[in-house]
Amino acid sequence: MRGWYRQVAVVLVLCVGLFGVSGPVSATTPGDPSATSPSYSVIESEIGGNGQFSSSSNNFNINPNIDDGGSSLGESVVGNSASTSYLTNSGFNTTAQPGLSLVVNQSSMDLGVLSTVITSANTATFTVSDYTSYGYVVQVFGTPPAYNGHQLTAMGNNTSPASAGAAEQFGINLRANNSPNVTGSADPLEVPDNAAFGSSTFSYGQAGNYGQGGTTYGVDRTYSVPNKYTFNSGDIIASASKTSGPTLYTISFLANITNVTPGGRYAGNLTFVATGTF
Amino acid sequence: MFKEKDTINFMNTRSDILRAHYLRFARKISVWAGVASIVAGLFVPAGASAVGQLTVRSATLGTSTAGATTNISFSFKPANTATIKAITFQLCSSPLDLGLGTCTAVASSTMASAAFTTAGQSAPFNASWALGTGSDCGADTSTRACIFFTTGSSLTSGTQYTVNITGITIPNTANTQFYTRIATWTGAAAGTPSGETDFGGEALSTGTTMSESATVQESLVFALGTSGTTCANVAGGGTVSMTNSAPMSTATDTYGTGKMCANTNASGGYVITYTGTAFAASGGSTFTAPVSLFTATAGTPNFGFNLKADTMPVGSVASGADPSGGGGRCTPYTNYCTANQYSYSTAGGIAVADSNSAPSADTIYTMNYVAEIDNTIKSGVYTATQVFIATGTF
Repeated sequence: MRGWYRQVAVVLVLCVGLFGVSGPVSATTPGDPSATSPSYSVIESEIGGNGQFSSSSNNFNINPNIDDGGSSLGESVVGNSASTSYLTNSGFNTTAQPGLSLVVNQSSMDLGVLSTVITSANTATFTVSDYTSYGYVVQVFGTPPAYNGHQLTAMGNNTSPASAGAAEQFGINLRANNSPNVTGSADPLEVPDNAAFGSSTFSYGQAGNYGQGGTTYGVDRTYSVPNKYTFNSGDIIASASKTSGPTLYTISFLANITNVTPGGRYAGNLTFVATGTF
Repeated sequence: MFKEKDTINFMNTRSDILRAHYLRFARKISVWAGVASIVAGLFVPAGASAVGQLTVRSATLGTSTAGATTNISFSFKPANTATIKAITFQLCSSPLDLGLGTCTAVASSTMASAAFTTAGQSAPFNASWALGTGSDCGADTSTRACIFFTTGSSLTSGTQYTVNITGITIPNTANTQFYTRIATWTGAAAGTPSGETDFGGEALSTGTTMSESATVQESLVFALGTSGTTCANVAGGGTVSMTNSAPMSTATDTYGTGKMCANTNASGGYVITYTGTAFAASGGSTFTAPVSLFTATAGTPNFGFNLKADTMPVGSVASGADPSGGGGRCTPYTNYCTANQYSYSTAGGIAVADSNSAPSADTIYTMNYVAEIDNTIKSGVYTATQVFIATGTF
């Protein structure tokens, strides 16, 4: 009998050792179980070697000490695996938290003195990155510059600039433009490998809305066609179809006036809203 | 209670002894494995699979302007089909499900004035749901808002739902990342939701409002001549040669045309006035033309002009033209805008045309002059000079 008690004690110790008094409870803290069974859930389905952070404590711990168990795992090799719709990242400090960063790199843009004899243009940039998402979209909200109640006429979808003085126009795109030449204009730049859209292994931001049905990037997708401009408040001007590192976008602004465009100092505000889908 | 059974009856060989030993050992293992599984089950929480992850979830800002009080449109697909009575929305420094009480505001963000109305919402939130109170899922706090429906709505797994919450003040620092959390609950009472069903965190970011500016210089173009179709090609100098003027006759009209063109981007448009000298000759007679309208009649001394298409003499040869192009007009100035009737004044500053108080593209005006004499008019070379002035109101 004494042996029987000893064996029961061993089993209890084993159970406690395997599961820990609080171990399973903390493992099931409500928080994004992405893989579940009736009894178990895997929180934040990211597995890594835990190269940087401590991997153990007195009671075992595979999760670094971040928040409620969100893992920051990974080894020193940075990389990812990607398909059309999905992307997994690995590397140092691969965070489990969703992330979305929008940085508008300047707070003003001046088109200068508009003229009926030359088209006016200028550029501005912003950067977007997101993480653990199904991609993002960036919308622009605002109006064309206005003076005394008169707004410069917004250009319809994929409008080619008119000859200087022939029409009043205001529009934007996010591509490099050479007709007319827009100094400083550029295609979306994928960071950190400074690659063009479609050539990067880190970032996937693109001009226009990847979800704009029936359109092709650079051909007829609004804001993605070089030398063609659009402005509609609320439009999606940039997007990524999956988790993406930083993409540097350059907005080209273009304006034309006629001899009846009221004289004055035109002004307006634009805001950019980035929304990730997680 | 477990008790070992004596299974050693006859052990003839060493192999029999070993077989019996291993069989007994195997039975023990199976028994203790069963005990272990039962005991281990005590440590596995029943709620491990209770909270699912909201998928295809997003939080769309009404504006990203730092510090703005705006709406956020929360969209999500539940993982679990359940009758949901409360949904909480949090704005925090972390997207993780740390519990409703663990949420830190970001750069003065607050949900204390968050609001919800069913108007404009999509089903099922377009009826019956309301902003939480202390009697149900809780009133607004600086980091949390809640909506509830006492009966609850069945939210189906995989169906996209959207809830729009207004009155949320986002962080007041530009280009700053922050998070929202959505959680669905099956119960709500006494200010606390219960029965968390699904959860999801979203990342958002404030931006920087970009001001755009441009300058359009004030412009007024005015050209005078005797020919032309646009302001750019008006030409011919300032002298109008008259038909039937060498010499004038009491039997017919003397007439001729000049051109002027104007455009402006002045928001108040332009007005064209003129100041003229009398139609006179050195040592000769001076025509005293009436300011009011007169009809050209050969043999009656007159001098004047209008800006209309006329026939000279009346009913005969076409002369002159109506204003064309742009927004210019002469209609408010009937003395100069009635076909086959004319006026002239030396008073100065007489308005004859304008652009209707608005910017105007090129408008071509044709001044159609007419002069007539009778037998009392002395001989001589008769001339008159008009100075036209266009004045813009910017």
